[in-house]
Amino acid sequence: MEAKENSGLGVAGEAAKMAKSCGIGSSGCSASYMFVDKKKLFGKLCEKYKEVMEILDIHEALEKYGGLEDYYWKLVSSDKNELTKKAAVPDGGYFIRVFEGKSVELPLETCILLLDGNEQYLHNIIIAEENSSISIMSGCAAKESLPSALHVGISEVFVGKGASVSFTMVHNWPKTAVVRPITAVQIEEGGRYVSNYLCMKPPKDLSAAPRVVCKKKAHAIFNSILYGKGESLIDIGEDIELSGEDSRAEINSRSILEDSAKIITRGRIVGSARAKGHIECNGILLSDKAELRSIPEIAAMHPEVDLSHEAAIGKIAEKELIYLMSRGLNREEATKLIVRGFMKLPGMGLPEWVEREISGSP
Amino acid sequence: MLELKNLSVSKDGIKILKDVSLEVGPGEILTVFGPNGSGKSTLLKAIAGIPGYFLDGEILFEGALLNPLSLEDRAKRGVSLGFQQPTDIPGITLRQLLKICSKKEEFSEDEKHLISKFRMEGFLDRDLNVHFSGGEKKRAEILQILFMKPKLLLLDEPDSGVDIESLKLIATEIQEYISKSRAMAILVTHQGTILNHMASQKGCVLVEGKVACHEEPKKIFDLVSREGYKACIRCEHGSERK
Repeated sequence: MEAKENSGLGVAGEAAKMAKSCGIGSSGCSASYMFVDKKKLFGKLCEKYKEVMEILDIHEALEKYGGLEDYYWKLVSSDKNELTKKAAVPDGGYFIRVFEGKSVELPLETCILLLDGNEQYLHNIIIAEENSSISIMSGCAAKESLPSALHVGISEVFVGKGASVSFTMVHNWPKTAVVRPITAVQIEEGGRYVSNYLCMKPPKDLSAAPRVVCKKKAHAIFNSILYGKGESLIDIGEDIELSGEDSRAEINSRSILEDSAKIITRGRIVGSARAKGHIECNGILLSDKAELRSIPEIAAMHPEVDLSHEAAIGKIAEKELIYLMSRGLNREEATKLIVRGFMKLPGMGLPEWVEREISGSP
Repeated sequence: MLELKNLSVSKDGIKILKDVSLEVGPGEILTVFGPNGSGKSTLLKAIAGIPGYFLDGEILFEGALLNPLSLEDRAKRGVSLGFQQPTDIPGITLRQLLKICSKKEEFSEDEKHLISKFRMEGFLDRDLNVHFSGGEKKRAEILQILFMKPKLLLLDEPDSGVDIESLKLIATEIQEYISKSRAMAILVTHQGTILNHMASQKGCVLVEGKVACHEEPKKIFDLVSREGYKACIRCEHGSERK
């Protein structure tokens, strides 16, 4: 692997442009992985992180670690559905392992693109060993002109005891794409997993239902900012099991819908030990043809479970618009300002460029 | 000059203001008193152009008819409404809104000084009015109004929920702005204290949507404090004088 610090992605042309639209390659990073269509373009690891972590293509990792039997298809069943069966031999994917007790200060960047091909099957594995920490920025996008595109990404994430993984994913899809992330996360005692998902350019059809298991004192946070446009359909719902004592989970989503877009947010938290969880879903409809459904589910299987959910969906409050218009903004300007403000999820702690991305929209 | 000519205002099919005629000239502050529900806020909202109020009669501002103009167009003409109950807007900071009000990307030295005077530096990056106290909301509100540099200030109870020190500050700054800019204002208040810091020579009382009395604001306040609004209804000055 090439050793070069703060190298960015080092690719040119369309791939670089698309990566940049997902915020990838724009800042210094600890390591990077780029995959285009059905082939790995490169994996890079900065010299100073060689003793801290490793990044490999999934096929390299399978070979190096004799099939990765403790991790590969351990959290997701290969028989789950037709897509997982098709992904039995993936086109590629990244294998990231942060060594025990090590912290990666700079984010690791991954970028998965569809430029010419019309489908890709990926299998990613992230292992944060005991008391390690890492922040991953991941961008996925496809070329606007593709007549059809299918992106299937299987991700198995292992957060070790006391480890911390922050995973920020930005999706920019053409209207023709079908996207199926299949994710499972296991968080060991005292571990923490934060997922920030931002989809500003939705595909035709996106469906994702990450499954998460929180062991003792583990903490899972899922934040999503979803912008539905055109005739896109987004169906997202984390399924979190709080099986360990004093484990916690929060699911927050902010949805904005235009045109005939449809978004379904279905968070589910099941508490089977003394645990705490909250689901919050907020949405704004900017069109009378759009549809937003919030289907939270909370289930308590233990008397000391403390679960709650809260949802507020509808159009922008007229009194907010009037207030801003009294300051000289027209209705459209006031609406944009409110929408941008709405997308800033409190506590999401997004990197600056993502905040800028939000500020630049819609 | 602001002239209201036989202005009647309805909302949701109910007539709230009836045949109101008033005038405010450059540098003048007209103080409007009246019991709850008498139409004071409606008067200000109708002049500002808040949607949902149906007007009969004329609102003339600097010789032009405001009636057909939208809320934002009236704001652009220099009409600025300070809300009685400012709205919370999560996700939008006070700093963002002040920049919109001042139409500038950076605050001028004078604006920075005013923010500091209003003790609002710590609120600039907070979501607008969210978890602000009543007094903080009013300080933020007046700050926005002053940043707009309006020609007509419509002030709906800027003194309610405000501590004595902040009240003096707010009132003094408004007065200073009006004196310097020769802007005009309509002030709605239930309290007399604000009048100690503002040079309002004209006052009137609204009762059941009609102007019941014209008098110097301090005299009206003293009368109402002593005898209540019933004294205004039988007031010898009647509604003829402007």
